Amino acid sequence: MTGEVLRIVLLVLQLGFLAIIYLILFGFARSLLHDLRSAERTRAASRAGIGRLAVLESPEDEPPAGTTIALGPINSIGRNVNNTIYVEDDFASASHAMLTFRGRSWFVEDQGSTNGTYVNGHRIDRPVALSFGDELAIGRVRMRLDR
Amino acid sequence: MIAINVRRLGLYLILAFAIMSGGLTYWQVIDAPQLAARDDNPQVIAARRSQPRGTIFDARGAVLASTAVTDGVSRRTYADPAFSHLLGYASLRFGTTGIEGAFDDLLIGRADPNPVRDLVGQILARSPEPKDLTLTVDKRLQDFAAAQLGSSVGAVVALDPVTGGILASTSTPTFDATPISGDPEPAGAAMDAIRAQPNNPLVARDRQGRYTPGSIMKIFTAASALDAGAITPKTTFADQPKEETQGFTVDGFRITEHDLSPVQPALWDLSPALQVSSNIYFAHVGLALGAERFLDYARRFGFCAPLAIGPSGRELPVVASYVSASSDGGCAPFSDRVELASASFGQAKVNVTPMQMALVAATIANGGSTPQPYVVRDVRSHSAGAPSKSVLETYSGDGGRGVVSAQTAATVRSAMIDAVEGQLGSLYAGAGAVKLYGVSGVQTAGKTGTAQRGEGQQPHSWFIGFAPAQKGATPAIAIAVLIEGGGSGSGNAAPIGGAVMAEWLKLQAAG
Amino acid sequence: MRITWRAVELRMLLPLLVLVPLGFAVTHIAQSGKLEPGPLGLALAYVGLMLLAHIALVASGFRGDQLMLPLVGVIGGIGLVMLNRLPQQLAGTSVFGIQLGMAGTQLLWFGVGLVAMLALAIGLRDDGILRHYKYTWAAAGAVLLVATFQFGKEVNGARLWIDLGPVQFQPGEFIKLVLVVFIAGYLAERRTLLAEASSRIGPIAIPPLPYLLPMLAMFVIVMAIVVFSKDLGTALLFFGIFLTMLFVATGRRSYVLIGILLFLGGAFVAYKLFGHVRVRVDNWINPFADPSGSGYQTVQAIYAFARGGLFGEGLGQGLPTINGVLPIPFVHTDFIFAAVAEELGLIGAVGLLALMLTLVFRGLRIAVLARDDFSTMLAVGLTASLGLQTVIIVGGNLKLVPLTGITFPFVSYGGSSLLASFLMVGLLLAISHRSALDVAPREAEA
Repeated sequence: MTGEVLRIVLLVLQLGFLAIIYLILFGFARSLLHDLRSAERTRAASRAGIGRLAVLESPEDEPPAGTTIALGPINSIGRNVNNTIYVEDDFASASHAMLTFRGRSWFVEDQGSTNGTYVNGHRIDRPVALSFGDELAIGRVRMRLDR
Repeated sequence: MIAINVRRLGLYLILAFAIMSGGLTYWQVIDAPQLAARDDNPQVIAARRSQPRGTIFDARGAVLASTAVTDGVSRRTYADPAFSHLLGYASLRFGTTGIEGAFDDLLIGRADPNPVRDLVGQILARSPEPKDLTLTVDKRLQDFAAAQLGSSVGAVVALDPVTGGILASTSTPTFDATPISGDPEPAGAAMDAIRAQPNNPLVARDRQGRYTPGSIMKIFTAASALDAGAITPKTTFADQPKEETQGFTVDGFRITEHDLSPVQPALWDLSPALQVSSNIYFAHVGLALGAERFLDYARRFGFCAPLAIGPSGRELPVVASYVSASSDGGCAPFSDRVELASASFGQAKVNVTPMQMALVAATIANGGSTPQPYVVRDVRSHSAGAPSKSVLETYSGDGGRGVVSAQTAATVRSAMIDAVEGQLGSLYAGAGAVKLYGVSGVQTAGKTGTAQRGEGQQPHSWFIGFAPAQKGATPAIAIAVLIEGGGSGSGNAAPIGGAVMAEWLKLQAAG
Repeated sequence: MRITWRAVELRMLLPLLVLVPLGFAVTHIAQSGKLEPGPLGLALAYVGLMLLAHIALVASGFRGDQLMLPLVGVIGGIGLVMLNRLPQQLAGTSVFGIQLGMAGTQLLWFGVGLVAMLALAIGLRDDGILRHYKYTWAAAGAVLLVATFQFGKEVNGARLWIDLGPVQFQPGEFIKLVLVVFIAGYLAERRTLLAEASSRIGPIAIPPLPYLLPMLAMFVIVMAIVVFSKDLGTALLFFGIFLTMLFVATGRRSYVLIGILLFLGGAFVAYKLFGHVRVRVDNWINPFADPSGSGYQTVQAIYAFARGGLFGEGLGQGLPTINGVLPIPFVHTDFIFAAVAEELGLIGAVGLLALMLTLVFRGLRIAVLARDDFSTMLAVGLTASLGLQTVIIVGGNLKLVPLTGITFPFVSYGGSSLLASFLMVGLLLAISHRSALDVAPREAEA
């Protein structure tokens, strides 16, 4: 009875089709779990850090462009070597700006510099909260706040 | 902080997808069986249009409904209009009714009575395999009953009082179901033509017609009062002979007797009172029983709620019969003693189906136990011409449920034999005796009814009964006959009742 | 440059070589009644396209997410099998004189979409163009929106299409993209400033003005879509995307609640005022009230679900035709999910939903790992868009929410929808690539 054979073949193929979908799903689930575990490790490793500054542009190459600077909760920025972040740039003041982590957010405050502190191209005149991805300009040095 | 919010968003999305899976499960698994059977489901329509449908046979294998598939279009033919109300029709346009409706999934073949085969068939997506049905009804008896009714408007219901198997159930006038089941356009015209006829042929009077029963109700009243101990077979009422002529005043309302002539009133006990069908006597009996016990027994006998012809799960519905005003589908309390007294002899608000009254007769015949009526005897593999040998499922009645004691039933039975064959009774219901129709040596139990209606309307003519009724014999058939506006029960319904019962006894004897 | 082989991506793409041709073969056997695989050209071409995209990513040194492409491949593959199963004359196009059926046309759009996705994933190395010109994007979106209102062609009661001679497209799909970019830019910029501040009127926390104003603006836009385009699905989707992104940016459920109340209020007014809204809602509440008229689609979809059962009727074996007509109108777009559920059953349909959920979770992971707030918000918005779109259309098919005419991402037939979905995935890939560069050594181990 060919009709019956055909039906059984179709049933088997149909179940095979469904089975492959679930095998693929299983594969994805495994990859997701794997990623989750490695993400846990990554997070554990980076928990100490609360943020980083990526140096985008630095004419005098101090700090060097393309590097990232790990941040503590309080960071002073300026041309004076005693600053947490030492910036060698003619347009930077000795004690130029303070970058602090308060509660949940990063804030930057200008320390009365000559040429001012810029966030995303705007000069600031009071403490300003920063988002990750915001751009900070001290003199000619441009840096980006990253996670 | 954003990370926490993203994680929360993830949870909400999981919730949303879970709800969707829940909705999917509801439609695909939980509600699916009901949806799959709906008539406007394209799958059902496609199957009806093109696939064979099971044959329906009578008890002896005569074809009642069959389907031929020509050029990919399936057509249903109904052999006998006497079965139209019972079988119903399977119409693309008007849906399925009757047995066609109750057994639709089996007839189409979407279901299998065996759950394992049912599941395998569904998984393998087998094309539907129609199943055939065999009824308990004998086409010969059904046709005989229909012929007896002739052009009168009415119904005959006959069943085996022991098993509950329906032997005949027909309603007149009837109609031809074949054109209704055919192509949608001509089907509409055929339906319109049927609807234009007088006396609404589409109504199944045996199951869906409700009528005042008149004196046949006295069987119920007598059985209930005896069973409750309110009367004995020897109970008499002292004022009754006087009241037969002067009337019986209940709460200021005067109940009068019907025309007793040629019989003279006397002090009657149960048997003669039933033989002459004394309304006064049974008014007293009803009042002695009392309203509460009256209603209680009515419910036990199956009144006051819809009935169903089995098998269970695939029931044919029978509308509820009432002994008082209907209230929320049940029986309301009697409004006064007059209503109770009148109900005791089947007048006032009493409103019953022939099927219900056939069951009352069957209950007495069956020793006080009401059989569960059923009409489909078995399900078989499909076979076009004659029933297949492969029986897939067999149905039967459930053995009945006790309503009154065997002793009560025996007392009422003997009174009912007197009502047909007794000295007085034969004057009224004598025409119901099977011996008049060529069956000798068999006693008949019965009762006629002449149900009074409004002014100027002919009364409904009733007869209920069973045979053989003599002590020790197993009753073979219980019957109810109704003729709408048929006049006296003794003149019209009783001869039909007697003839149909005699026919069945003869058919049985002939094998 | 050291080559990253993207082994996970390849491994997850390989099962497609079996899945899609198998689906085509089952369909062919069921429809022809012959035990032969039938033509598999389209199926193999589809898998080939996916593998080519993989090769392009490897060749360009792409370091981003490895599961996104296989996920899209499987979901789209199931969709293509389904579209190939439906009557091909439902839709189609002619390219250089070659007549393509529905599945062929969809495959063409898969190709276009993959190219667009790769262009964004590989080419968009700096998100400044999105971030700094957000108002320009918003303006472009507004122009598109007004253009739709003005010149849109009404199809099936909704004004969604713009006809540009040879090409027709649904601007709504692209406005959606622009909307996500704009909201991401706007919220990322203001997030830290405003997360804490809110004023109160009595017990109700009122969102601060910089949130309240866009919410109101969004509400007006959405209502305009309902009124002028009669496009309830897009309106619901836009508002849903906005509220989701607002929630992620602020973490305040109360804002979302206010938004929902606002939307329900607007919906109620729209119900009272506009016939097309009323019809939709009434059909949602009881489609069986008019099963052969306005409730027809929904009723037929419900029947399709019921026919499917647990294991499905089988590919090519469901969807009974009556006089050669498929029971569900718009089965290839709005009701593709009902067709999947009928032929693949509860098991297949839940599988498809699980795949979509996996895609959404992958998107959210990209959002969490993103380097800056803008990228996070962008990824959230794109993911929410794909997820909500699925929820709205599947919910509509299942009668859980009123039925609307939006598409099932990567499954429904439709060029604009497919292209927009691929652009979204392209953006997500670009975001994941940038965050992967930061932790490159670690990711390479995995």
